[in-house]
Amino acid sequence: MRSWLAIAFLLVSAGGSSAAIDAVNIYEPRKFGYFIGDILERRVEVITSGDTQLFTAALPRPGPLTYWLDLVSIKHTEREASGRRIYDITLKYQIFYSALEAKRLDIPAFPLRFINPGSAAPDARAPGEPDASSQLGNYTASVPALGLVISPLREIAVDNLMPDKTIEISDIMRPDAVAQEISTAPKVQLLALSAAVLAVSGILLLSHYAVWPFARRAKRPFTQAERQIRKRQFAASGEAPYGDLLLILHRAFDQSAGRRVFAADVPEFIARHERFAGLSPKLKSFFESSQLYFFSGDRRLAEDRFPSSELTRLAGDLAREERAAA
Amino acid sequence: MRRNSISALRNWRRGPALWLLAAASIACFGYAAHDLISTRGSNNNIRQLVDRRDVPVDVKRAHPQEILARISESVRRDHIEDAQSILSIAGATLPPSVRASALYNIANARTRMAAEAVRKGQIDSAAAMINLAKSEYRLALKLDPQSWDTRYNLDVAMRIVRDLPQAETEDTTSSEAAKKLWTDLPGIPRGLP
Repeated sequence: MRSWLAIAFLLVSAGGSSAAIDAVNIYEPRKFGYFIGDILERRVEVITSGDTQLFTAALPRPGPLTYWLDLVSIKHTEREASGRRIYDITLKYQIFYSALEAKRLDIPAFPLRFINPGSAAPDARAPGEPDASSQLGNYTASVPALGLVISPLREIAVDNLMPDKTIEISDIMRPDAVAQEISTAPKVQLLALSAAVLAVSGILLLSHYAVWPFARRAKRPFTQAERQIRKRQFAASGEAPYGDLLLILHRAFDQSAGRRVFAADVPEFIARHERFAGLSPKLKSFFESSQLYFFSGDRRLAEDRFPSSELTRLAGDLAREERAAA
Repeated sequence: MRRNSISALRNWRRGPALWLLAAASIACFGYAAHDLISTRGSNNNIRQLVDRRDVPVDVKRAHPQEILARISESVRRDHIEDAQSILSIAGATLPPSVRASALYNIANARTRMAAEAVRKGQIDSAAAMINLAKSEYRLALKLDPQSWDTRYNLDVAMRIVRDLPQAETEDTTSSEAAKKLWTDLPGIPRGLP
């Protein structure tokens, strides 16, 4: 609940200058019921016309104003409304008065100074000179004093501390602040969540590559074939019997198609498994050399046409396409 | 065909996506584990300090509450200088409410010492301590205006040694005295003949 009062200034002696302060509205907080440590906020609204500027260097500075009052902050903003420039000045005070009984204290009045940039700068004169105020009178808005009733916070009778020593100071004072333990619950939750995600992604990865628990995955004949071929190659240091490798890959084709696949079935196989379409030339040469190897007896030629390194690569490509498919 | 190619694109990224997910969850897990372990350590320190054991604390890395516990324990052992240096080292990183609590504890210790000094009749040292305590209470109240304990103890501290607007009265008398001094000075030259 804020009361407000408006002080309208009649400007008679403008002296030809169009710049003027038209009105000062002060929005005051309540004037009673304050304790030590309370913060109060006053808002001053100055409506000006013409080329008037707030002389910000003359604003009160944050810090202690008197022994019982601090200016915590002062903020000013500027806005335009229907051709007028309006300055909003917000002042925040904090009270440090320890009252014995409800007592009224005044925040003293202070001026807000404005300058007209067209005329001489006010700081050209020494601040103590008397003609400065008369010249700048037109551009000064006064913020009136504010009376505050400050109430006592506690019973005063108790602190008879003097030598009889009936009361300890620590009995009167409020206790010290105690450090709180840091809550670990959210951190434990985060840990559990990330562990769960890690486990799930690990399982998905294992199934993706058909490793140990998923090694028998029926859907991954080519992955298994690739692994088998690599194992053979590794065991024989790259000199594994060519026929065995061909057979391993043939079994993988059979398993993948669900029946025997021969060279003539390749187009049908590709039509069913579109994913392998990109590999069709390689598939064809694989089946051709396999035919050469097993049925024409020209094993040397077959191995030259489609060497085992090529075969290993084909198996790898097939396995990759197979993984990508599902 | 078109639908197939879209699903092919989606499927194609499954392997890298899984690896990414795994890497992210490992990073998250590592962070959470480290955080939890360090928090457990901090809580252990806080518990010991609250139990009045003199545990050292790494001021630059410690959790704010840990620093508050350390300061409170230093204050309890009457090592106010230590408490103050810890506060000034950690000050900028502490949240305002924790800083206010630390200042409040330090000021409480000073107030208790001042009350003791008053009893012993050492009014001057009591006044000096109370002035320090009052400025610390004021700073604490600025940082955390809602703390009613701070207001209450500031009020108590203000009653231990009388609080007068000394600066203002002193100022006027001293300037008057200075003026008088100048006018009474003998032998001021009265200008050239």
